[in-house]
Amino acid sequence: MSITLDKEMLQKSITIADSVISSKNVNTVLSNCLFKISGNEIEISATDNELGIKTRLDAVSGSDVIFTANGKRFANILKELPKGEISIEVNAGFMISIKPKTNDLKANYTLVGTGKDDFPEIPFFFEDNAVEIDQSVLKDMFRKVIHASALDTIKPVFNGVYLVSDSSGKFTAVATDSRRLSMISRHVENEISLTDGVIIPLKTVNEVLRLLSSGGMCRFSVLDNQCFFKIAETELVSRIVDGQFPNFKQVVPKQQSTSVIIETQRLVDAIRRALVFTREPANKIVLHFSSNNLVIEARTPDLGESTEEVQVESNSKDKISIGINAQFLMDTLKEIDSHSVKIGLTGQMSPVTLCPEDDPDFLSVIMPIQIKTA
Amino acid sequence: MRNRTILHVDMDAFYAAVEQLDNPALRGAPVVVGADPRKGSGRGVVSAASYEARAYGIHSAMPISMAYKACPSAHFLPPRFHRYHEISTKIMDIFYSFTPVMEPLSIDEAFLDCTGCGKLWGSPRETAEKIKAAIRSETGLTASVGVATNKSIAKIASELDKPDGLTVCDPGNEREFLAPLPAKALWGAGKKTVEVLHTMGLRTIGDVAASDRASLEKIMGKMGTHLWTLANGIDDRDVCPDWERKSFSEETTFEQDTGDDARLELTLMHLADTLSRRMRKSGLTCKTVSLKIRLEGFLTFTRSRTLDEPVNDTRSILDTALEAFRKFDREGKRVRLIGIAITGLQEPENRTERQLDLFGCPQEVADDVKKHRSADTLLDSLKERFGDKVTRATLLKDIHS
Repeated sequence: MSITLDKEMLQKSITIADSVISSKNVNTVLSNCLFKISGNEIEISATDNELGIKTRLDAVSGSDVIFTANGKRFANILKELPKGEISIEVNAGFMISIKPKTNDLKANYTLVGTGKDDFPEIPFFFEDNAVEIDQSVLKDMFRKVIHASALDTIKPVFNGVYLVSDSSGKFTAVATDSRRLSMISRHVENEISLTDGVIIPLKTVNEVLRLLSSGGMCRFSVLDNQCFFKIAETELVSRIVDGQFPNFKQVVPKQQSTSVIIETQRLVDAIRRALVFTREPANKIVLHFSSNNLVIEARTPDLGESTEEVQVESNSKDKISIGINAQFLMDTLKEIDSHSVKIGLTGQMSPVTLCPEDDPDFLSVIMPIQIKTA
Repeated sequence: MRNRTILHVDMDAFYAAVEQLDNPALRGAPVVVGADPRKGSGRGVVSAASYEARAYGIHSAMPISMAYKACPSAHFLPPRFHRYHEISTKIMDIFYSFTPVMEPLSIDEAFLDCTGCGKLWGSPRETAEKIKAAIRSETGLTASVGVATNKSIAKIASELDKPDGLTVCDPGNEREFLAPLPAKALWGAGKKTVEVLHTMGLRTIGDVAASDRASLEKIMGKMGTHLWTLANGIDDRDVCPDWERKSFSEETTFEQDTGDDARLELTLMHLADTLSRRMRKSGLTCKTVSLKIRLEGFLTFTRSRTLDEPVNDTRSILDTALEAFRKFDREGKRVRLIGIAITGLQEPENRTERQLDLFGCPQEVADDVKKHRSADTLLDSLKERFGDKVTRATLLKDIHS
């Protein structure tokens, strides 16, 4: 069996599959990628038992062969080869011979592979009720809310992004770690039956984000406890998080008594400077709102303090001071592309809302830090 | 440059020496403190070996079965940590009486910064002699002391003349003093590092000092620069009296490799219980919980989880460790050792500045948390009074079975 193909295409596909493999895997079979060469394509797959990925690329071969090989090492040698075509041959003992097809480099590299053994079969994309959505839209949705999900896996329902469609043509992504929440809704053309919603694990969301590009459509579906993504030549299957996503609608304030409009970039700059004078994990700053300005104050013993004034437009004459985690603010402000941001407030112990002025469908909620009032 | 006087004091074969001190019949005989050797089939390792036992090639961290084979007639004793701590406290008090700038490195060794104490205790050598004499008269034990202008050389020097030794490296003589010593004597150069140095043809500290710093850094990264600096007799690190604890850990080696999940999880429960109690006692919380697991064949793995909120209750630590354990695919292999370590230690957050929660705390959850917290407190005080016989696991055994 011999196959000729472009080395960069192969390298890219191997890297896509290999990225799901955990370097900490004990199971040796799963630390390899599975290569299926048949007729006119190569299919490369990998899994860590929770997340499976398979990607295909065109290549004409004389015969069929199935083997596994260490994806990182395979990609590494390809990376070091000059641009252009290479030929690959796999013998009966699964020795993979790689030869650059250029006259400049006379070389032969042989990578040790193994047979398929008990490499698990990765299920095919489940077509029923699949949602079709613009890659750029899904990418934007995930990117804008992912920061709010919990990194730790103690409460699994917070360690992911919740996808739901509770009214026709509307697709919503929500993430929360119970102290803050971000949600975004977008319009989709086709009907989605996802009224109960599913929680996609954080690791899967990150993988999907890596695969999504700015053009073309992608597909998404759910079957039992698994979710499926089909993005260009790559399919991804993952478990979904078992458990009930909290009732997020209940905690999003319907109406805030005070609404303040601020220039986004100005606020980002001020908060970034204030962050220097805060300490993890609370990163506490105090926001003093009045009718036409906002004073951002950070005060940390043994560290220093800062105050900075920013012009605002407010619908209220009342003064209000709120303690808040500056990092949480930064995380969400970074995702706001519009010129100005609308901040909603009701009281010291009530949730703070942030929303781009021109995009009411992207909303973030942050719970304050309780402060002693003077 | 500061001309400091740094002493490294290291007790000689500490655990074994305490045993010989408490039982005159053991004096002059090979004594091994550690796991039960079970006539050569025992597991676990040597904690300490007396100098008489070292003559048979026995050393600490050696598998106990090997020690038994080397000298079956040695006195094999289980450790009595309580007693060692008692004596350690005495020794640390002696150090304090010489200088307040004292940094304990472990139960039986410490750095002392005696810079500017010349009027009080005499020359550096005289100071060291006075400390050794004080230890001998107050505890009956011997220590070895290294004296130098920095920590690294003092630590190396205390090793050179063991037991009951005293080695002084005079100021200005650092490089000459270090040069003939083997590279492995460098503080921080482990087995792997020494192997790398050897492949580069560097066998003595002098070789390392004379080598090219840039190429060392290229091969070994930061460690390369660090070793090169130490080899050239430079070490600016201060003796830190208010040394902060960075981690807590507990582990168990099984008598026989086990594949019994129930037993492993019960062990984790014991470990989480002990660990969290130690943490509560020191008034700290932790952010990271690591599971350590050693399989048959000695392959060791660690799995860490970092939490969003710092914790110190038994349940959170146990749940985190259990989650890591259940996720760990050991491919049907049996387990030799299991342990938990906690890092990212910090003081509990200021309660007057509480981060509010979006979903509040549902009453049941709040009650549950409260219940567990009061159970923790109750158990802590029970153990304080009745010792380790009271454990959460023993209390829960009846409920589960």
